[in-house]
Amino acid sequence: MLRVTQTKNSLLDGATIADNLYTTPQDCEEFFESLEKPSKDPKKFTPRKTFIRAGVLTTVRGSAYMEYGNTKVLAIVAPPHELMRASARRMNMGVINCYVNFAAFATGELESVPERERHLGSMLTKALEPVVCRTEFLNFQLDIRVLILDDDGCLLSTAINCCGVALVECGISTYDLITASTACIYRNHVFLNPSSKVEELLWKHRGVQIEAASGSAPEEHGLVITASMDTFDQIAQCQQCGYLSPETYVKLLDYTLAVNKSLRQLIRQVLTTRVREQHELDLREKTESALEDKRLKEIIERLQQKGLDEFIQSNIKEDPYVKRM
Amino acid sequence: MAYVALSEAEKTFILHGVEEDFRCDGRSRRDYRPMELETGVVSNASGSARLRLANTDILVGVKTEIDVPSPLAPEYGKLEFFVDCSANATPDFEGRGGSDLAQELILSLQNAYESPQAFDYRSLCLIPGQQCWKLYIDILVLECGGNLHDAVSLAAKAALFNTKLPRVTATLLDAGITDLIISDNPYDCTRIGIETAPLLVTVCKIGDYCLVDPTAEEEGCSTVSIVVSVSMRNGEPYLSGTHMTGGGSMHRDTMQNCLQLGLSIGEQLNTLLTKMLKQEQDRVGPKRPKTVGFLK
Amino acid sequence: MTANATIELALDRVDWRDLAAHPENLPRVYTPGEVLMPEAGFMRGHGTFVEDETIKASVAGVIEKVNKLISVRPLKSRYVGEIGDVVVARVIEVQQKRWRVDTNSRLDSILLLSSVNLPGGELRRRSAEDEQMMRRYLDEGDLISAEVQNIFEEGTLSLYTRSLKYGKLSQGLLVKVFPALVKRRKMHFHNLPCGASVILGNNGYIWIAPTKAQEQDGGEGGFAQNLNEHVPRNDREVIARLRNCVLALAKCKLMIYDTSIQYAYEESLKYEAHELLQQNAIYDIGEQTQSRLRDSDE
Repeated sequence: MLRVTQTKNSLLDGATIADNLYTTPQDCEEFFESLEKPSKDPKKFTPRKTFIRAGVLTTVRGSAYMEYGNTKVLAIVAPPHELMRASARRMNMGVINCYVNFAAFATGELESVPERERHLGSMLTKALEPVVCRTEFLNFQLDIRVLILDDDGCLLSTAINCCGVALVECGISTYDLITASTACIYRNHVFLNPSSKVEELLWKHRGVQIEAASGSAPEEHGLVITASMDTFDQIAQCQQCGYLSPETYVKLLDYTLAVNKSLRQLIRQVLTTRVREQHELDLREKTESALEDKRLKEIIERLQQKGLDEFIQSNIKEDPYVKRM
Repeated sequence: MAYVALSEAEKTFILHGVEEDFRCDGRSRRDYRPMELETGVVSNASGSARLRLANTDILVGVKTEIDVPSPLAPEYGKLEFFVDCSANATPDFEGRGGSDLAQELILSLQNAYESPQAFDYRSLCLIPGQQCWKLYIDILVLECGGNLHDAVSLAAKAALFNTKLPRVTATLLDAGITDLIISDNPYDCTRIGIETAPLLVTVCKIGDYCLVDPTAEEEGCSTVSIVVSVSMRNGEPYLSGTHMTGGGSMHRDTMQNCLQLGLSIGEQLNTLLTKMLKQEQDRVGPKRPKTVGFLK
Repeated sequence: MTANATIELALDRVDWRDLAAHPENLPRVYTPGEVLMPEAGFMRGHGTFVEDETIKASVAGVIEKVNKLISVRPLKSRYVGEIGDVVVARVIEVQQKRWRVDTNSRLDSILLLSSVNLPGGELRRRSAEDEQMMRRYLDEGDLISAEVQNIFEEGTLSLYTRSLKYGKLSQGLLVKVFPALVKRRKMHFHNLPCGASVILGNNGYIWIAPTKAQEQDGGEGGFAQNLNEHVPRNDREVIARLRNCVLALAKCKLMIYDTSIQYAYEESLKYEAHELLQQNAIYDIGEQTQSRLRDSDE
């Protein structure tokens, strides 16, 4: 948060100062100068340091936790249930609802949180609709809930990635793996996966920009979020804000698609590890229960040999899962 | 949008028509249905406009208020959108049905007008850091016949053109507080520059082809459409906000085609709208005798 | 690559009242509560009610007298069905042994499974499989042409499609107009000389389709559809032109029947199909058609 620290204006006699209690455009300038500026045409298209884990909760069938740099997001998917609002019924497809919630400590600016939650929810729904096989749950609705624990930029794309993994974990049929990323341009510098400070700079700081006289090219600034399904090069959702020329837009689009490709490998790896892990757990459980059955059979044979058929008959109602020994 | 049930045969008919560039009513893929525009219909608002695009009927009113600018942008005014999908529009909008659609429209418009390049917020500033104009743009959807985004943005731009901000003079009182005097004369006003104000163009993908201005039936046949917000600056089209709707996905190349189509159509719509608004202004003159309104 | 887009000003709006008939021929319009007739000897029809032994109008409209039956016909109302009317309807829901269809009336109408032609001939019994397979015949969203067989007590219509000319509709276009504008005639299925066929439903739904090649074998029963065939370009043009003409007639509040559609089509040939969407073209067609109809009536 670009906030001037309180120690700068502590006047003990209670007099008020006309400004300086709020952030000023000058602070934004200083911040921008202090940023390490990437080159105009980035060469490496790598995502941030990512951590994804599928299956983190025991209460719901589908859950995933993702850390993208400092942004931390948790997504929950429950199996489809009966449609609540009959008016939302569509003839041949199920309905998806996404609810986004910020944790109380997730972000510094609290007034805009409800609006951002709504906005994120609707954008998330739009992004996930193409990837889910909605024909499989006619007249049902699928609820996806996202909890944001820490906001450091790229919220929507992180949420989309996380929900994609949670959907697969829950066992909902999807057409492909979905990956998303963000790119923004500000004063001719392209930032891939912008942090929250950069994003805030983009939206809040507009004061100094417009020095250009009419007749010259306007200063472009903008943010592009792309969610794609790479098997057939399909774009599930592409959202742009700001002011971009078509060429810049296509450039940013291509950057995000490249980042998506590398993210997709990571997600695939996570999911295969998870499936293997689940498979091993299943195998272990199966061998344990096979072992148990064998032991039980041995006991019965031994007792039979000793001629205690009657004893066995009368004890048949004993709980077979209790370990004897 | 309003949900229309169609049989498979009707959908096939529409699909083949789009492939041959001859839609159900004879239009090509790039044609719009005839529109009717009137500004200044609501006398109580600072600016208003009504647009009819075949069945779709939109009424926009603009109200002005004096507000304190945000501290991070002390020289900028504010703009706030509100959309109400009236239950008269279609039966789907009864109760809470229309609120989702209304939210979507509000978000698209906010996104499109967000950038200072798209709308000159500095012209709304009165005293930097202390007072600025805040415009409330209220949009009422009276009837829904497909293609809401386009109609709403056209009507909003027309209403902004029609908005008259009363002239404000400031007197400096002591203690550094300035007092604002707002002129009472209805003809003493300033206008808002809307050359760069964006227009939303919905490009709908049916089968393998993209078209603009879908009717409600055509919307029912398409899987995905992209809403492009086009703003003209110095004769060049710029994108000020795009998103996809419809629940389907599209290939990257298809998206390029849709973008190009949207940009060229947006450019033409912009010039056409500006021309018609000027024409209306010239014909009616500064004193409006009588508005045509809803009757007739 | 230019687009055709036009924005007109409301100042240039066409005055539709200019198309109204001469003041002398205007029929008498009754408003709700006006006395039509003393009750003795007359039957009351739609749009009327009886009070104090007189028949009074309950809607605003034009009086229609057929022998001893008095009814008032309003301009804009939901479709009120009569037995024997031909309607075009859309299936809304598939229920136990029947389909619920939308006919632009106050209540949705019913099409019973027993009132429908099944493939394989007319006399097959309705077995249990037929009920499961109902969706194969008519699914939600399908359009059918049917006739009103019966009217239930609360006003729900019961339709039937047991004749071969009724049944599921294939590729084509649906146009919706006010039910009152469709003239009651003997024939509702027309193969227009311009090259398309038209079904004028009494409920205001008008179906325009390319003319089918001569009738297939009777066993089909009207449920076959050929979705793969492409409608050729000139048929498409005719259909688009007819659609715009019908909408133009509806806008000018002229009665819609085969002759008026034919005249309007001929008048419209001087415009392109998409130009017919403009209000000036609509006004022109309306005026020309009205004068031709008047001439042919005299």
